[in-house]
Amino acid sequence: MTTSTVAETAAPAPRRFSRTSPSLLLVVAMGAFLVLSAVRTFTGGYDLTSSGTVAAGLSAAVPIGLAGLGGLWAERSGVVNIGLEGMMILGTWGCGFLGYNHGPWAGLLFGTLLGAAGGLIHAIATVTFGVDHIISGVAINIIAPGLALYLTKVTFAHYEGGGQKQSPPINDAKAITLPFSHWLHTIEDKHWFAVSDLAGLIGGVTTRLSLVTLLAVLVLVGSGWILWRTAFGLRLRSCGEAPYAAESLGVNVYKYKYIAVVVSGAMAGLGGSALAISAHQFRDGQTGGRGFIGLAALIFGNWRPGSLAAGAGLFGYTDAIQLRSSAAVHALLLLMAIALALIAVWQWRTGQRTIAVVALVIAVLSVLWFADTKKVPDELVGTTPYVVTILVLALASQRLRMPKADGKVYRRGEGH
Amino acid sequence: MTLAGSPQSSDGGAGNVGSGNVGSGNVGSGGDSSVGGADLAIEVVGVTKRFPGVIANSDVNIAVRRGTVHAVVGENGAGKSTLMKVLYGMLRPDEGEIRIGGKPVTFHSPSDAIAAGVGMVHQHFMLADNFTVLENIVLGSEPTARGALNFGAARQKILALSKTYGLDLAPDELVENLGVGDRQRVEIAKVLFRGARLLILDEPTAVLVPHEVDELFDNLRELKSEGLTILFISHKLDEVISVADDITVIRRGMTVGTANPHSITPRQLAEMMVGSELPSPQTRTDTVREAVVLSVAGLTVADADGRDIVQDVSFDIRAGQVFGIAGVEGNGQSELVEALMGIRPAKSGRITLNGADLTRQTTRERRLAGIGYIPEDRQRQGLILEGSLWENRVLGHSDSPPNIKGPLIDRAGARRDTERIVREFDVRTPGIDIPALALSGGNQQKLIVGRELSGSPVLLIASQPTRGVDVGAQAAIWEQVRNARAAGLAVLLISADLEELIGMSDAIQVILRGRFVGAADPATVTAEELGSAMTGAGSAAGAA
Repeated sequence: MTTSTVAETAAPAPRRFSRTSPSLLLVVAMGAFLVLSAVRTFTGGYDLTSSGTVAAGLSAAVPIGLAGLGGLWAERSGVVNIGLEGMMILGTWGCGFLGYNHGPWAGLLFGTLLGAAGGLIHAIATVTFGVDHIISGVAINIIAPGLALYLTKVTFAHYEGGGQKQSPPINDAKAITLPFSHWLHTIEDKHWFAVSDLAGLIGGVTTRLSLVTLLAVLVLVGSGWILWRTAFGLRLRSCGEAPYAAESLGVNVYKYKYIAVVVSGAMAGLGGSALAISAHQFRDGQTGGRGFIGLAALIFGNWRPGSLAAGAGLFGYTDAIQLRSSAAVHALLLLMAIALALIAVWQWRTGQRTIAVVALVIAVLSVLWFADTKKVPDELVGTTPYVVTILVLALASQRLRMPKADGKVYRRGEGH
Repeated sequence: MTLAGSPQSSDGGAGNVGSGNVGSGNVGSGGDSSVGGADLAIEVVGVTKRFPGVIANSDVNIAVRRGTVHAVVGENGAGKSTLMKVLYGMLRPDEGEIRIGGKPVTFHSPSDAIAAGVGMVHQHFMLADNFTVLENIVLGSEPTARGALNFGAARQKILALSKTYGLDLAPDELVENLGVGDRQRVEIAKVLFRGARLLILDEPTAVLVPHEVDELFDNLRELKSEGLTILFISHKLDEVISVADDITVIRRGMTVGTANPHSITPRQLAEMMVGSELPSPQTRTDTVREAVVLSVAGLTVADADGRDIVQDVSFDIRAGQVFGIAGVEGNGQSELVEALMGIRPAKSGRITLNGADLTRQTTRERRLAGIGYIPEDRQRQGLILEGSLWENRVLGHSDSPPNIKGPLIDRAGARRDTERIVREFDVRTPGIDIPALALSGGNQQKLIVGRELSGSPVLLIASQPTRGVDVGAQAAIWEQVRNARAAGLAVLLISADLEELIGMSDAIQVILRGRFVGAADPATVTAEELGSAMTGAGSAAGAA
C-alpha cells in the first residue's frame, strides 16, 4: 500500500527557516542589558536605566503597542491600515469626551468605540468598495484630526479646564504598587553596575503600574492567542495570506476582513484612550504620529505580537529618555553606536556588505558626536525616537515577511 | 479494475491490494472492467455552459464509474476547466444536469460540492505558504476544543489520512519549505480531510517532474483501492494512458468520444483530441556552428542568505546550438538564468556574449546585446496581464524599432509588428487590443516567443518554454525555435519536460544542487536515465 514514499531523496534541499529560539533570545536580552549597564556606568547617564525612565517608557509604549496591535489585526487579514493614526485621534477625543465626568474607564470604552467606528469606515472603503488601502487610510488620517478639533470646539470650549483645543481633565486610572518596590529604589540609588540597573528595571515595572497598562498587556496576549490558537484566528490570518485559498474552502473572506479592521480600529482607539488618560486630558495633536510609530513597531516586530511588543517597548523607551534627561540622550548616542556596530558585524557576516558599511559609518559618526559634545541640542532631542525607528528599520530589519496578500484588493470569485 | 494478484478481489479489498510493496509495474495488468457491478459515482448529462460570445461546453456527457480513475483529455481551451468548475459548483450549467449516485444535484457553491463529497485539487495550488501543512489542511473545517483550535486532534486525523493513503505528510512543516509534489499531496489531503469521495484533479502533472508524477500516480492508485473515485484532467496523453481506467475526450467544448486506455496509443488519442497530424520535438539536422555565442566561466550565484545556489558553473553555447539543462526544480536553474539575465548578481565568474564581457552589465544592456528571454512564469515575469497584446509586444523591447520613433513609442509600428507576431506565430486572438489575460496559456506563450525572437537575438534563454501549453501550441513553439536555431541562434533550454529536452537539445548538462554533475548525449540518453541522473541516483548513463 505504501509504494509511494520510497524515493524521497530527490526532494529539493529545503530552505532554512530561521525561528529564534527562546534561549537565544534570553542571551541577547542579557547581553543588551549588560551593555546598557556598562554605558550607564561609563557615561553617568543614570536615567538610562532609572525606574522613572522604565515606568515612563512603559506608559509611552502602551499607546504605540496598541496601535501596532491594531495594525497586526488589520494586516493579518490582508488590509493595510495606515489610518491607525486617525483612529487613535478619534480614541483620544472619545476618551476626553466621556472621561472628564464619567471617569477614565467610561472614557476608555467610548474612545475604543470611536476607534472601531473609524475602523468600520476603513473596512467599508477597502473591503466593500475596493478602495486602495493607502488612500482610504490617508483620508481617515486627514479627516479625523479635523473632526476631533471641530468636536472639541463644540463640546469642551465652555467647560472649566476645557478649551478650544483640549478637554477638561480626566481622572487617573487606578495604579498598583508592589510592596517591595521602595526597597528596590534604595538599591537603584547606589548606582552599582548591573545590580542597580536591574533594580531600576524591576522597580519601574512594579511602582505605580497603571491598570490601563495591565489591560494593554492582556489585550496583547489575548490577541496573540486568538490569532494563533483559535479557528477564528486561523481563518482571519488565511485572508491575509491566501484569500482565494480561504475562499475555496468556504471561508467568508469579507466577513473576516470586516471583523479584523473594526477590531484594528478599536485597538487604535484604545491606544488613543490610554494616551489621553496618561496625559489626564485630550489635547489637539496629542497622538504626535504614534499611530505611524505603531505601524513601524508592527513591521519591526515582523507582524508577530511578541516582537511587536518589543518594538513598542524600544520606541517607548527612547521616547521616555528624550522626555526625562538630555544627559541620557547623550549617553544614548554611545549606546546607539554600539548597537549599530553589532548590526554592522551581523550584516557583514550575512553578506549584506552595503548595509554593514552604512551602519558602521553611522556608528563612527555617533561615537565622534558623543566624544565631541557634552549634550545633544534640545532641538534634536525630540527627534530621538524617530531617528532610532528609522535606523532600526533600515539597518536591522532586512528579512521581514509581511502577510502575502497584505494590501491587495480582494474580490470574491476573482482568483483563478 | 486494475488489481494485481488474485482476481477474486474485484472491489479493491484492502487485504489483497496491500500485500507488500507491489511495484507500479505489476499494477494495471488486469485490463477487463467489471462491467456488471459498475455503478456510477458521477454522471454529467448534456451539460452546456455559455459565456458571452463563447460556448465553453456544449452537450457534454461523461459517466464516471465508482472506484476508477477517469481521465478527461482535451487541448487547452477545449472546455475542460469550465466543465470542472461546473462539477465543483463554481459555475452553474445553462443546460443539462449532474447526477451523483444516480440522483440529480445542484451546486450553488463549492461548499455544496464538498458536502456532496466532491473535492477539487486545483492546478494552481490554493495554499498559504506561510502556514503549516496542518493549518492549510484544517482551514475552514477546524476541529476545536474549548474555544481553541484542537491542534492535537487535527494532527492525529492528518497523520491517519497520511498513513491510509500513503501521502507522507509532515503536519508541522511550513508549506513554503515543501516541494511541488509535497504541496500537491497537501492539496489532496485537504480534500480528503473534508470527506470527499470524488476527487477532481485539474492538470495535476503540469507542475511535476517525472518522479513526482510517478509518486502521484501511486497515490492515485492508493486512493482508488480505498474505493475513491478520481476525475483526472490532462492533456499529457502518455500519463493519461498509464493511469486512467476510462478516458473521455473533449474537443471544442464537446465530448467527441471515449477511449479504452489499454487499447489506444498516445498517437491515436492525440489525433482524437486535436484532429490533425502530430508534432515531435526532434531537431534532427545538425546546425551547430563553430562560433561560441555565450561563454560562462566559473559562475557562482548566491541566494539571499549568502549560500551558493549556483556553484562554479561553466559552459559554452555555439551558434545554432540548443544547450539543454536538466534538473529537478529548485536546483539552481532559476538562479542561473537570472544571473545570466542580470536580474541576480553573479558572486563570481564571467559571462561573455560574442566575446563581450557581460558580467557587470545591466539586464537592459544584456537584452540590447542580443539576449532574448522566455521566463519560466509567463504570467508573472513575461507579461503584463492587464495590458493589451501590442503593449506586451513593446515590453522589454522599448528601446528599439519598430516600437519607438525617436524618444516616443511608435504605436503604429508596434501594432503592426504585433500583427506580424500574431500571424507568424499563430497566436489565436480576436485582436491585438484585448488584454493578455484573455488569451489561453499556449497563446500567451506564443506571443512571448514571438516577441523574444523579434529583433534578431543571438541568444535565446528559454525557461520552461512549453510548460502547461497544449500539443498544438507546443508544436508551434518548437517549430519556431528550430527555425531560429537553423538561422544560427544559440539557445539555452531549461525544461522539466524531458522528452522536449532530449528532442530539442544538441547537448545536455544535468544540474544538481547548483552544480553541473554530468553531461548527457541527447542522441542516446533516455528520459529515465536523465531522470535518475537529475535526482543524483546515478550518472546520466546509470540505470533507473
